[in-house]
Amino acid sequence: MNIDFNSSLVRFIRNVLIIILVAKAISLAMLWYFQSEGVHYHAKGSKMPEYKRYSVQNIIKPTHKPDPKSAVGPTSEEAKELAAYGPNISNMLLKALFKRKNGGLVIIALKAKPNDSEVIGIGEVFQGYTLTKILENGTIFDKNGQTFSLYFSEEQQKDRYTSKAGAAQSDDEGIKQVAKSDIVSYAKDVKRIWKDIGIVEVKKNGKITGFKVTRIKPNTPFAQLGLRQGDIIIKANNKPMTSYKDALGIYKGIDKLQALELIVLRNNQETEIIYEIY
Amino acid sequence: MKKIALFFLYAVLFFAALLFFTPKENLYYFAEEQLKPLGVVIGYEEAVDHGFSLEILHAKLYVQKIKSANIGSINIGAFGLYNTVSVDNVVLDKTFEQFFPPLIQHIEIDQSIFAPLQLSGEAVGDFGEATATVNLLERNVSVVMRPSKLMISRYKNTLRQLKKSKEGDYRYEYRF
Repeated sequence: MNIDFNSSLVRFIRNVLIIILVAKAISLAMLWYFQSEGVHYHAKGSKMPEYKRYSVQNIIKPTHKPDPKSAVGPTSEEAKELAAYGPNISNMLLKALFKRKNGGLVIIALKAKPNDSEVIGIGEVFQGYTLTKILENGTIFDKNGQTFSLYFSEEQQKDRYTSKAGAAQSDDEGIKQVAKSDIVSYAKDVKRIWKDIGIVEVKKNGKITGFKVTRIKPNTPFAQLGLRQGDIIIKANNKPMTSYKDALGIYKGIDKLQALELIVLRNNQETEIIYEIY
Repeated sequence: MKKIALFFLYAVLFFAALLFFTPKENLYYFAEEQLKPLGVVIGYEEAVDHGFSLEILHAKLYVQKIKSANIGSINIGAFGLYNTVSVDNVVLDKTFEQFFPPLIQHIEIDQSIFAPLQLSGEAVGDFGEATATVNLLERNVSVVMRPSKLMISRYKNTLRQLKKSKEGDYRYEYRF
């Protein structure tokens, strides 16, 4: 069979094939250059395994071998922290508490030595910290004139067995009591929040450092909470308020909280406001 | 004349072939990577290459680590001269229910070669209708919203953030 390679049809087909081949070659180069996996959100502490796409690049990538030097468990980390900074409120573990109308007892230990617990009452000292107040889900300590709070961890909170003994305590020592019904009604009706209080973010070098109270409507539950115009909320329950996610996290779970501790910057000084939610 | 026509035919064929073979899924992942520093993550999605367009199905949108919306589908058509992104069935997260009606039925964003530095968009949802233009040269966003009855009656606080015009619609301008 004779094929005339100079016929216009064959030339056209040949050119089209060359064009397709060039286009395919460019697309293959792009395929090699661009990543084969997208960005996936994995929440910290989520029990869901992190999404990994099945691809050749993932298969040929060397698997990550943990560095034995960095393979330290939480216990050794805590022991290191204890050795480096000495005992402080952040490396203490609140194990249990018993609250009475006029006092109570708490069982406390260092995170590095969780089995080495001590039982202390109001006015007694643990590692230099004097127990001054027992709350529904935490404690208040005093050291060198400064107030520190220690709460049950989130995991402990879930497993906690609560038994009430005696009547609820009245407000004293600056700890404010807030009705859960008020909180639930605010959580369900955000419009009421914005009517009664004005809050804007505070940024430093483009990063959120806290949330400033710009106005509080008088004669509303917010006005009785101890917050003042100009206060900058920098921490809530020991979590720094550095993003809208942090603020929304507190807002979303507020109806489940038993106590709320706010650290606010007032006249450039940190002030602690504690709420017991009943 | 015949040669010029043939040249254009080859050019069109080349761009069509390139568009067809382009790994759109990988390009989309590259775009996702560019959004990451802005705190925008589109996760749990299924990307389907339709040859000349890319469809993203069942995506969850996170902004600054906050789950913000579930997106039914995103259809991306990049044709060079005319590019379009259409988004269907956006359901905002419950957290935002208090601020904005949760369902946005359709969003359409277009960009054409005749105004390469301008994006225009339209959206329809329970909030009403909105049109938006983004001028990349002047770095501004302008939104005009015609709110629905639901938006006017239940989301007055959100509308207060916008400027009401004499025509009765609401305007919002932002410079970036």
